[in-house]
Amino acid sequence: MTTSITVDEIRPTASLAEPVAQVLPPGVRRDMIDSVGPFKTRGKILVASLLAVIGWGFIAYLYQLRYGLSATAMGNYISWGIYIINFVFFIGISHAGTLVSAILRVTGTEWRRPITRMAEGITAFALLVGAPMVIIDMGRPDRLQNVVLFGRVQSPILWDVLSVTTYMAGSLLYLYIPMIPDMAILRDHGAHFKPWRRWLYRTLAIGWTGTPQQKHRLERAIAVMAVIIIPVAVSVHTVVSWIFGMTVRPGWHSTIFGPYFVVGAIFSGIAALLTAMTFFAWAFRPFHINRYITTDHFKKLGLLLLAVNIIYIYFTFNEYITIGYSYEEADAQLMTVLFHGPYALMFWVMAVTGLFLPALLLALPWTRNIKGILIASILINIGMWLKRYIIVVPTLASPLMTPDGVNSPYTAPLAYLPTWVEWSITAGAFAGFALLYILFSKVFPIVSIWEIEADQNKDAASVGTNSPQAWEGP
Amino acid sequence: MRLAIITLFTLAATLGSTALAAPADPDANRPAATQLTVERTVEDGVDLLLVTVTDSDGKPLEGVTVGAYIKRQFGELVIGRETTFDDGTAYIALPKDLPPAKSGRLSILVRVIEPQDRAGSQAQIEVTGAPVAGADEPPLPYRALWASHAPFSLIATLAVLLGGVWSTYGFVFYQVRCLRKGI
Repeated sequence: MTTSITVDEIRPTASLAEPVAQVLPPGVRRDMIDSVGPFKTRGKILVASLLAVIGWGFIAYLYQLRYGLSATAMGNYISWGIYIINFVFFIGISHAGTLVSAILRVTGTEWRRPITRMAEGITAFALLVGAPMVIIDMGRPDRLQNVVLFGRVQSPILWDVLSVTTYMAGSLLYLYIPMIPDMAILRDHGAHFKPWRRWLYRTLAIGWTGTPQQKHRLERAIAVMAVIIIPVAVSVHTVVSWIFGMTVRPGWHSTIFGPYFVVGAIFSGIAALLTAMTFFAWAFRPFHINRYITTDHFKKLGLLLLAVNIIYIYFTFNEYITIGYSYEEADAQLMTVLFHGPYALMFWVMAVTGLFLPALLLALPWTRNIKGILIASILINIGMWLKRYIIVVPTLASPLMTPDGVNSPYTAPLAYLPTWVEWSITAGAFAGFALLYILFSKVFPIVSIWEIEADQNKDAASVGTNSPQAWEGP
Repeated sequence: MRLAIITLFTLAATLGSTALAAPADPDANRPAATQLTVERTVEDGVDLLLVTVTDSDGKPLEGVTVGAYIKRQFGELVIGRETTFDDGTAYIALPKDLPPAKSGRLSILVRVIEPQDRAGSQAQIEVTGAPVAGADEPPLPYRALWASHAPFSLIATLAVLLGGVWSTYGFVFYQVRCLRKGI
């Protein structure tokens, strides 16, 4: 596309009483303004279903608050369960925004433009849902104040609280700043929206008019945030890994855990982004989203996912070959439990369908299409959730000192089977993430309007059909 | 909401049933008169608690199960259970590694567990706790990262890292603020 429009071109012709479709030529601006409208019937059913699941999860949480952690399957030995697994999983997929948006932005990769906001959204919402999992795991949320009152600077738990908080603040800032020009575009079409939306867009646009000074400030802010958010994200998952790695337990006490977790996070983050892209490519068809998110995006991200997949297989192999070779007593017990004990099914499902099968689907040219990439992405995220389960539970089920009379991980208190309360809260968390993401996509443009237009301006400028001053964006 | 209503009804039902119930016999749940004496003794180099259980007349009680406990922050730590001999005595081994309270003393509670009619009768003894592990050892020449007081290098590293990141956020926030003001 070689034509583009700017805010200044729109204003004189746009009558506030006319529908957007009548005043805007076909293009990303019109498509995205149309997309932020109210829900259709199917959307309402989806939102109602998600709210029902969240409501059920909330009831389960109230039940847990009333009866304490005895409502869960956790105990003295298996003291971490699926809440911590969910926490690690959500922190993991939050790396989608860091990699796809920040790294590709810093390296000037142009094809990232239509997918950056989706990626940044995943980061922010995964953190908003994942971080409270630790509080749910504590049983008594009021004890959170103890982190402030009695926190030990030398504890990885405190480092985790600090790094996740820092990452969450940075992610929200990094999600918001690139949205400012789009907020101004929506503000300028205010008559088409309800009063609360008009207020919201006006407030979030913070007086953006697109002056050279504002563009300069915005470019600087985005560039700085894109650079700083990368080490922050890497540090967060490293610190999450240290919670395990700095504990002298078989399967946890490993120097490789930092990079292993970071690669795992990027791996599941890209897979989550590809899943989200497929969903929006299907759900936002009426808004011509396939003009912006193309097969090319899927294939490029698919190849990136394949590369990270292979790296993750390498790390996994590295991890188990090291402890398997020395075969210390505690390690041997863990490996038995994992490879042909009670967690063997989970381990091999993770390895085969979560690592090797996706790699095959992504590597073979005839399966590297949207359907194949979607299947691989879903399998990867299921596999990565199982992987976190395998990291957390079997190690706790292989204590260095076993309780009296218990020497089998099949029996209590070393056996762990999550209760309905834990599953319900988990389902509520996943539904909460999906709901936040869907609501976001109906309030804000899921594809960055100004970044697409800037790209089009750049193309136009390069062939001499548009103003040479066209803003290319950061 | 539903949970709150259920809780309210449960509370109301409990209060109601209490009010309507016949007045309870105040002596019904009181343990039968039992006397416990506890002494600390050492036999064959083993630290023991000698518990003697008698009735109100001073007659030794045989077959009474007694337990020794230490009150901790989140409940009572069981340190042993024994049954009395025909002379009313029972010996409970005293672990050597129990750290004392801040006062340097260890307060041990001995309580009758069985039979039911005597359960609840108790006595207390104060003993010196085990020496605090490592207290008499010279301090290590270095301080580990997980030591009770964080080393300065760790605090400084964390402060620099966090300060750097949040200062950068501050700079970005300033840019957004200028953007809002159009400067």
